[in-house]
Amino acid sequence: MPETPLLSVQNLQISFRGEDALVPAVDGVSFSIYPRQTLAIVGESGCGKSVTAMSILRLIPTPPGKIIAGEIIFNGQDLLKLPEKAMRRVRGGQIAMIFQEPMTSLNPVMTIGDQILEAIFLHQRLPARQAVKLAAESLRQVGIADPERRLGEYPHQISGGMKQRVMIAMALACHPQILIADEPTTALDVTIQAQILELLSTLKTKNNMSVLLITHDLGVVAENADVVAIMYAGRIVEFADVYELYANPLHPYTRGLLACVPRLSQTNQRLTTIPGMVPNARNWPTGCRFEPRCTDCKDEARTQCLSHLPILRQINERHWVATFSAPGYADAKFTLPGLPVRRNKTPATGRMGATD
Amino acid sequence: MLSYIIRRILLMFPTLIGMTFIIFAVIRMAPGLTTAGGSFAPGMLGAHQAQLAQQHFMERRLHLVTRNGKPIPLVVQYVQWINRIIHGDLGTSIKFSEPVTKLVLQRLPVTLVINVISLIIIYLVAVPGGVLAAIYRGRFVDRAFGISSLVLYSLPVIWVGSMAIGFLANPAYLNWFPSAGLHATNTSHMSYFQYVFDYAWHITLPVICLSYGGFAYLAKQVRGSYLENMFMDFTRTAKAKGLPPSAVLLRHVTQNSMLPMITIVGMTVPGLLGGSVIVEKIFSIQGMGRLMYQATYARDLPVIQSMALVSAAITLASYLLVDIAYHAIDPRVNYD
Repeated sequence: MPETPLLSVQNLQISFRGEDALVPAVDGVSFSIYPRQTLAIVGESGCGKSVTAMSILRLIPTPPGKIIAGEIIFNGQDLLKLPEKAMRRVRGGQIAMIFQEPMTSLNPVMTIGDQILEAIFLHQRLPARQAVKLAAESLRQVGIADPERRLGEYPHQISGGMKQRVMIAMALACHPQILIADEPTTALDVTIQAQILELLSTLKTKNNMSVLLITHDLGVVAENADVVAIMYAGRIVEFADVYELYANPLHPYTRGLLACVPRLSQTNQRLTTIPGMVPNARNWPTGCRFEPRCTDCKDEARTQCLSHLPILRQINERHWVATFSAPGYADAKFTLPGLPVRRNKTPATGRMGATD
Repeated sequence: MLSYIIRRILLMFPTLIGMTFIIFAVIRMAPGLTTAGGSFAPGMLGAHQAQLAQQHFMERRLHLVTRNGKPIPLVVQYVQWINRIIHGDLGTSIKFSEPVTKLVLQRLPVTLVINVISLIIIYLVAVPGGVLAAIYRGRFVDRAFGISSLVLYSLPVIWVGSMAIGFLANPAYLNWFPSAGLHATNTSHMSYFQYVFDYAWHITLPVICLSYGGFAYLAKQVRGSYLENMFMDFTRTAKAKGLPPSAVLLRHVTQNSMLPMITIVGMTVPGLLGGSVIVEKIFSIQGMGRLMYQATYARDLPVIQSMALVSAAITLASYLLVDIAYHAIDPRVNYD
């Protein structure tokens, strides 16, 4: 019997109201996450990855944001159609989220304990003493020493890495099925990044949860993700399990990203860059949105790129891609991207340098 | 914390001494100290009587600054003044021939009552107004409240007060409110509730005049700080926990928006004691503002000096209270 996805996003479209017109931010994104799986969404700033993540919990400020179309199916129900009250039980209860900026994501005038307890009381019926115990336990779980004392401290009294640990403790206190981590390590320094990622991966296994990891760090992806979705200009352009993606990247954008990662073995070399700029969402090309920066398509194939937007198609069992240049693309069909696979400990390698 | 408060109180003394220098210097530099003067509206007194009164006041003022026909050196005057203050003596009013302490204690409660009530009204209107404006930013509620509070802010008190007396306290139009004073003349026959009702009835117009202009400033501040905190990362975290919007607003946003509101209270308190010269004059209320007005016109040196000193002291005290409140509300504020 095939595994059923825990969460599946289908044809999600989100726009923001600009000064004069609606500006699309996410344009037809689909993917599935399976239980105990880490799905990484990778892309550069402004590609819509954070907006996608926020929309799952319906945290996009409306206005200006608006979910135009799509479904987000979680445990058999469409989160986008859920009444606000039922949605609040999902938020923080079944799906929790941690953010990019641990420094400002905690309320500065409330103790850490009160902030964790607030989450616990919202989702669990517990006597106060037991709730405090659970709060202390969740702090211990994220590796904070002397948790009973920390409960009474304020966010400004602890370091940035510690704040992110508190955020994780707060998110996990109610045992969510999915943790959405929106660039959880971007604001932290490198040693702390490694610790936090290690912690996330341990807790994921321990709590049997899925993680939706939003990042732009391909090194992080290689070591943590089961499945990867590459986003560009509001769309998923490539979707594959992590080993397949690194070994056999098909989209020119993915290949470009992998080429940009600095290699330890090649010193005294300029870093590779992808020429050009991400197109402005007000003014996306009619055809392939990567076409202006693409070095793959040549000659007559290019005319197709200019006039037709390549949709995501499944070209083999483990691989979805949206580029005319991929072998077999012409005969492939669209299917909902999602792979019920789990990684092993080996970091994914291939055309990327960081793990050389 | 306690040690901080004690240190702060001790630090207030040098500041206060500096203020006595400034007050003393500024008032001694003012013209008219040793000349005949003072305002007497012609017609209230006969010309001859007015001249006599002016002469009399001038003699009293001269008495303060000269001894046996020779001027007392300024340093000696200053030391004498400070010495009297330390002994709790603020001097005797030239105009009223009464101790300044007694005058202030008579007038202060009157001013405090109407000002505190109007301050409460300002907060009761402006805080919810500002919060609603932040929630419905850019929508009708926001614009309507913003524009109307700005219009009120722009109306001069002197015009509103005169209109209120002219139309609302005038037998020829609407005779809803008394036009002057704080009591009816027959208070001795009244029961307690009648007395309170009569008092409330008398202070209605003055309180309106004192409050309407204050909504705009506070409401803008409240709107601004709520709006800022509504889009902070911690607010998003609170929402992501599954908190209902009301709890996000009342707990997380409000806690973080308290500081500017407290700052404004701290800035307002010193003004409460000064009272409003204009409102007290329009409605013939014998309060601190009126006293200041009368003292200035009569060049009533001891009263002017004392009131300046008392305001300075109260200002310092209210700043201290604001700092303590900061500490209580925001754990990041640490003075030790």
